[in-house]
Amino acid sequence: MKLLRRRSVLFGAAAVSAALMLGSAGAQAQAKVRVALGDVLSTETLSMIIALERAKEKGVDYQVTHFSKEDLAIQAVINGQADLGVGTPYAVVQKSKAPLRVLFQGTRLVFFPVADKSYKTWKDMNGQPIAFHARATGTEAIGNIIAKREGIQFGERSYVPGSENRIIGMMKGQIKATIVDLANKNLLLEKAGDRFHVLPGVSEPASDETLFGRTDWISKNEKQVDVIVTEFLRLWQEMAANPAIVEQERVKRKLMADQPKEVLEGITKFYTLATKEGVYAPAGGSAEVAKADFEFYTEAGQLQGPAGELKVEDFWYLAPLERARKALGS
Amino acid sequence: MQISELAPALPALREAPARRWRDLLIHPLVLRLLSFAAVLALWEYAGRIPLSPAFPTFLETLGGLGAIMADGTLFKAFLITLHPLVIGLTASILCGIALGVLMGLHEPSEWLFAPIFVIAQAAPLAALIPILTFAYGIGLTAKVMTVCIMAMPVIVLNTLGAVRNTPKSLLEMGSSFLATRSQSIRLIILPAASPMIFAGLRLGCAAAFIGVILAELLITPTGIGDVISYNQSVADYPKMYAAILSIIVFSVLFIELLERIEVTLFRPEARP
Repeated sequence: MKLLRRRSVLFGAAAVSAALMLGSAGAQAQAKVRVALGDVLSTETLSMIIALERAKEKGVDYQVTHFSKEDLAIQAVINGQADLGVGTPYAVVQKSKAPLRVLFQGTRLVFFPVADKSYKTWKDMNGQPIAFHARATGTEAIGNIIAKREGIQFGERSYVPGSENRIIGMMKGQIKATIVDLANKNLLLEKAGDRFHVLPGVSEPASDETLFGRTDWISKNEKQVDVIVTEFLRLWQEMAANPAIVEQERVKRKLMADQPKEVLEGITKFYTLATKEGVYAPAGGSAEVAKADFEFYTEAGQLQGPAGELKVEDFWYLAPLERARKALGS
Repeated sequence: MQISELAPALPALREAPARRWRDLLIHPLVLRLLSFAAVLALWEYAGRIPLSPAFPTFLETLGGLGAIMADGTLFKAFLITLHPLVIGLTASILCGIALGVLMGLHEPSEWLFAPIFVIAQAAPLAALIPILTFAYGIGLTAKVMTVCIMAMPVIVLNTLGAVRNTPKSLLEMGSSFLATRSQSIRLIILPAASPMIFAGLRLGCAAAFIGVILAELLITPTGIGDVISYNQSVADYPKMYAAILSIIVFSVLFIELLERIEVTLFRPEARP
């Protein structure tokens, strides 16, 4: 009996110490800013990771979780499993009143309409089939805006996720016209430039990936938010001046070390083109950017308009970005 | 009736309404309705807390269901979803029963085919879908194959078990009456195996529903899978949950119908 009692005391002590250890591990993990990214670490998302790495050097440690879809990253932030997220949360903010605010415009929807050369202008596309990424996504919104501008109507719309899959479809002759990203537009023109060409797109692209967070977390962690937003803005400005900075920083931090040589060699080329085409806008966002996004996403069907009545402060929290601008003297 | 007779009968008479209430409360239909009501009430409560801003209440979901039914989205989506489901299920039933019977009657065939189906049944389908898309692309074939991979193993293995477990006494009776091989298959083995084969069909249909929705969510969004993923991407969660609810209800009703048929045809003892 005595033995049994002693054992139970020992067991109890072990349980308490285990709980304490777990608790402290939890507290340590909590100290890191948890970032939800709806993508893998790739050339396109590398700059965001570098900005986070720089923030870490300034004392704001982070932990990134990669999700297969942007929607999952948004859900992770809503439900408190992540503090910041990367994605476009406009629809969630409006429709389910999720307490999220955009902090920084990471990338813009720089997409290019590509078509078979038999379609010389947009007018020839009237009534013709076209492929988009998925329903109510950026590519379809760009298509809708162009159709309105040109006074045409597309024929049958098909949906093929991934620009890389759509250009394969084009080269195989299954798709005659679509809208693809910068890298795949270049690849298509390189491989089959004799058969396809680029049609005029939209001039002011909307936000694609933004940095956003939950309002309650942002208000409790203003300092951390300021450091992160400042590092994003600093890197975006540096990229505009010197796109090779991304590759230099990658080498210094040994990021993406498991990627093949071809991918790593293409990084500077990608950032040179991407900054030139405006994928990474150095301003990081503003009230005007937000309003342009409202116009675009209302057209896409993600936001319910009229766009003119949507308030910037319901979707964006611009104070950290303004403070970052002041800090960087821009 | 004399007073002396009435006295013992009184408590029983007094208890009669109470018993009637108790009988009504434990009636299967009432209990089932109560079970549904409890789950739906919990759902409504969880939505009102709210559990998450992305979790709609039951009433909001009903509103969403009304909206997608009114504009015809739901019916169009069901037609598209049923396409691979019907093709895959028909192929699974025909091939599955034929293969199962063959394996049950012919042992070498069992050694040849059974491992494939045992593995297919145990394999996590979501992990196989990328392989299927490599082999069959992103069209109808890949979705039909997903349905088959989900439904066929259950049907085949149940049929095999049913044929193999024909009561020995019945087979011995057949031999005593000098039945030929084809007669004992037609008149003894298949009728004896039918109830279990049918139970396998029911399980196979349930698996096929899972397969088709997985395919629509993971390969290319079409039909109900498209309604779910589209409404998720535009954050219209009541409609998204309504689409999920509708496919669950449809699947449950379909399986219930199959069970009714099974009871009517093969299980007279289970009839009410």
